[in-house]
Amino acid sequence: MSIKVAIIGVGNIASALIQSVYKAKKGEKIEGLMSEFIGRYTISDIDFVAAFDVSKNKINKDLSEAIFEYPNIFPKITDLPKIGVNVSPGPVLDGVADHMRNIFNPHELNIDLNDVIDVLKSSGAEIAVNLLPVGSEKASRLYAEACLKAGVAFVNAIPVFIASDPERKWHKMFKENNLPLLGDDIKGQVGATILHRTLVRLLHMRGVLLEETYQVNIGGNTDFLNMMIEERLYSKRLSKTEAVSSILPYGKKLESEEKIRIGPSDYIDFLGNTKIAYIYIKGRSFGGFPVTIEAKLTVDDKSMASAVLVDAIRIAKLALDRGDGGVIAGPSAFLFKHPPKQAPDDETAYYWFTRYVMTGEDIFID
Amino acid sequence: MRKISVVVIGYGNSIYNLQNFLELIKERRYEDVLIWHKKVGGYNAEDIDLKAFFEIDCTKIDMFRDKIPIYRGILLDEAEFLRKAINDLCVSDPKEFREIIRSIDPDVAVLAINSGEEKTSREYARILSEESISLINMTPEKLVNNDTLRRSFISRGSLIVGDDLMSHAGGTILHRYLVRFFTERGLKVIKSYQLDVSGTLETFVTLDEKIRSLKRDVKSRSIEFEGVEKVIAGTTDYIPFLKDQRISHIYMEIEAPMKKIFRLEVKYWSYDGVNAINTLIDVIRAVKTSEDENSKDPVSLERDIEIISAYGFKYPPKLMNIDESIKKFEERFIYSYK
Repeated sequence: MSIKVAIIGVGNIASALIQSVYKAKKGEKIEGLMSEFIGRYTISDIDFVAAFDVSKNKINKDLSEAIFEYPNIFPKITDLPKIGVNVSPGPVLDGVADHMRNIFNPHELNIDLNDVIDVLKSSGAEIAVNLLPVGSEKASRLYAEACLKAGVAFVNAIPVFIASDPERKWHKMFKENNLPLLGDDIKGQVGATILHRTLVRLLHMRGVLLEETYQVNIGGNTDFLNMMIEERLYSKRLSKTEAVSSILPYGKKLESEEKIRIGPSDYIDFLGNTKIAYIYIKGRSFGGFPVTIEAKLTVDDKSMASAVLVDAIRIAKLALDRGDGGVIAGPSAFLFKHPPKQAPDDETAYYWFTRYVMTGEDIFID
Repeated sequence: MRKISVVVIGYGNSIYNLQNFLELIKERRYEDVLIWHKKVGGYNAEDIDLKAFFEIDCTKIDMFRDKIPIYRGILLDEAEFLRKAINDLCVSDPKEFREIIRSIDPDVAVLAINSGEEKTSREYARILSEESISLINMTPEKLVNNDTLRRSFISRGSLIVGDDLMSHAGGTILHRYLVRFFTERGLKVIKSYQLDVSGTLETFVTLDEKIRSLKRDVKSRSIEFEGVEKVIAGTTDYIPFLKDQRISHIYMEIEAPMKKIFRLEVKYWSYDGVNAINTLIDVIRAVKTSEDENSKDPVSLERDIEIISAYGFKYPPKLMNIDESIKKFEERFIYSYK
């Protein structure tokens, strides 16, 4: 069995993903898997057949080498064979912010939609995974369009609203083409969002009235450096904020009163891929007495994301096998921060996910 | 008793609190104000006489007109985030500012505008130096660290001190003390970070990456000076509901004997507005004392600029460690006047 995957953006998450899959292929133990099987698929069934990047450091190199090129910092966790897939140049568009130019070292080639379609078609890719830097709005849409035209499913791991497009434009197009679409903005396995949601859910369930909350995230990889420009952060903030506010019936009111503030906050270079989140929550319990929760979460940012991606990729493959097109909404609610339909809580999201895996039944989105 | 006439450019939280503080002092409610140094140079805090404010936010101009005259300030920068935050701008021009300042003829001007107004800050400094009025630069714009500008103040017998006021008991000074504790015990602070979040306008303006990076350099450098190998300290995020409250998350790794690593985490809550007061009133009185004594002695003025700046600011022309900066300030401006 094989799941043929194209990688869009050969950064640290790609490195974590590829190395973990190859560890599994070699029969090494993978700790911390969320799902050992999805349908009949294990993670060692994932094969990488194409990859795109804009960096001169990575283009035309075998994927097994490209993932260790600057500015990637994810460590080597296993020896890789030559994968036999050279990184193709991708269109730059808005994928490289001005302050990242020296770091990403982008090519000056003229790459367009057709070039991307050609690579996807000739590689035989079934699923493309979008791992571009936050703020790559135009570039992400170009890849989504290329997938539609090349007959490839699209897993959108970044906060560009494609699966969750409010007009459902992309959902309809992928549905018409019988292609699965998952997204948007991949959750971490035990990331700040899911921890924050769980804490808020607990307070709400116990009747505590939530008054204010913040989540400050810091990290030291290019992802965090890229997000230092506030304009590139708009969708990321929205995505992370909605993931938490959606737990509460009065979440939108709190948002409008600026009582919820969540986002990537700062770049601390010496942290590398370590991501730290500070979460603060204040509410009122019985009799109006204050309740506060303060938490600090420390995780490896990239392994957190790839742990969820291996499930998203297998869901996409399952959907392809079943002939399901459009947004795979239930699993998206469990695996992504900004799905088209948020679950009221994570137990429900998990139920939607497992129900789809076991029965093929998905939730309805309008 | 002689008075120190002061004008303040920028009417934010700190200045609002300073004004209230001075009113309480005049009513002799010392138990409410917690003053650090009762007397600096020849002056008590009640000798500080606020003569006028300059501000560009029309709502503030309307709100506070009845107390002390509040005039329109100037704005020469794009200041994208500031313009986003202030709906109604009341802006004057440099000529009008010069005329008003000439008519008031204060001893000292305090520059307390928001960060990121580089051209505006320089223009204020230029006019004040030409009018021989000493300047206290609370902002992180590099004014005292500009040699030409500093010489221009000194040549006219006045002072310029700064840059970037250090809070009386804020995150930066706490961070510096913590580092000092370990280095004095012979340990090595390998790395540390300080994440400050707050809900003030100044914090909102700092979301602009250029400003954030300027402030981060200034803050980090002042902590690094205490002996940290790698430090990142800065304003991390704007959390509207915190308002004037500031939360600092400080983390450090310390190398102990046998290469063991100790770790320290501190969370510190403070209020920005009141935290500037004690430093500011000390600096105002020291500047006036130096003016009184040294207006014809450029060497002494330069020395006093160094001492006052190292004591009260994050980015002085000559950085000193905390103990040294406080000792020098107290020797120069406190002990000899008791």
